[in-house]
Amino acid sequence: MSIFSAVDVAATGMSAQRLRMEIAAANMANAETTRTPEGGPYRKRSVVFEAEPTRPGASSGRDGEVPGGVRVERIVTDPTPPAVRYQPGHPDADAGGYVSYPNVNATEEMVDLIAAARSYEAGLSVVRVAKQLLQATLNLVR
Amino acid sequence: MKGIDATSDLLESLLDVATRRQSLVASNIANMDTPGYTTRDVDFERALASADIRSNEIVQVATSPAHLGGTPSPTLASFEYEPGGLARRNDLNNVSVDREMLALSWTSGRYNTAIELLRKRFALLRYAILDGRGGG
Repeated sequence: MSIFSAVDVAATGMSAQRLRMEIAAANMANAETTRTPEGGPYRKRSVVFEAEPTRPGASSGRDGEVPGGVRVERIVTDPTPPAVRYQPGHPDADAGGYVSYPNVNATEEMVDLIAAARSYEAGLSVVRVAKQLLQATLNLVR
Repeated sequence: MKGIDATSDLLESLLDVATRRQSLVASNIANMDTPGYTTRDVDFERALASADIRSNEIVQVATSPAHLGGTPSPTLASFEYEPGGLARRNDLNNVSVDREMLALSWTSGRYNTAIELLRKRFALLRYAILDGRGGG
């Protein structure tokens, strides 16, 4: 019954937004991180969303193709040069006394976090409605 | 459920089209942040008006020249379209959360109405079967 496919699709949206929130949280937590295992300061990460292709409908034949959900195609690292500050006494300062800081803007990350939360809630609404419709259908023969 | 009466069949079609629309709304909402994504919807009225759409029947497929082939029924996918008048943002995504939420609400209202009407229909049948007696 294809009401389940609506739940599957909404679930992909919720997973994608959850990952987006986790990335925003990681960015905010590392806003002042000047050293990383791979060298250099922390680099801001972002998610790239991609629409899933259509999938075969849950019920046979007549339903044809059902639109797909979303997936995180990849996580990109910000390639822009890091922000530098003049701090000669800092343990991570270079020869000129400059320390490289991550180019993370806390305000931007907060806004992204809020947007992700709203999108997540929208997906949740879809799941709630699908559940209610399913319940109503089961009550058909009560 | 097939062939009880025309009203039940129509209501069943409505359930199918409504379910299809909910799938599309779910897809639109899941992709509300996907760059380049275009909103999709199903033409409710036209899909309902199409008498063939409700077929749960076995589609007759001609596997030999001697068979009488059946006419294939149009799938619900043929009534889908991309609604116009939606603004595209910088990432070329044109999903409007308000529109999708409204569609969700409208469709579930129709769905619940159809369910109620079907229940009343079945209750009437039960009444007739039991000769008007409660316990039969």
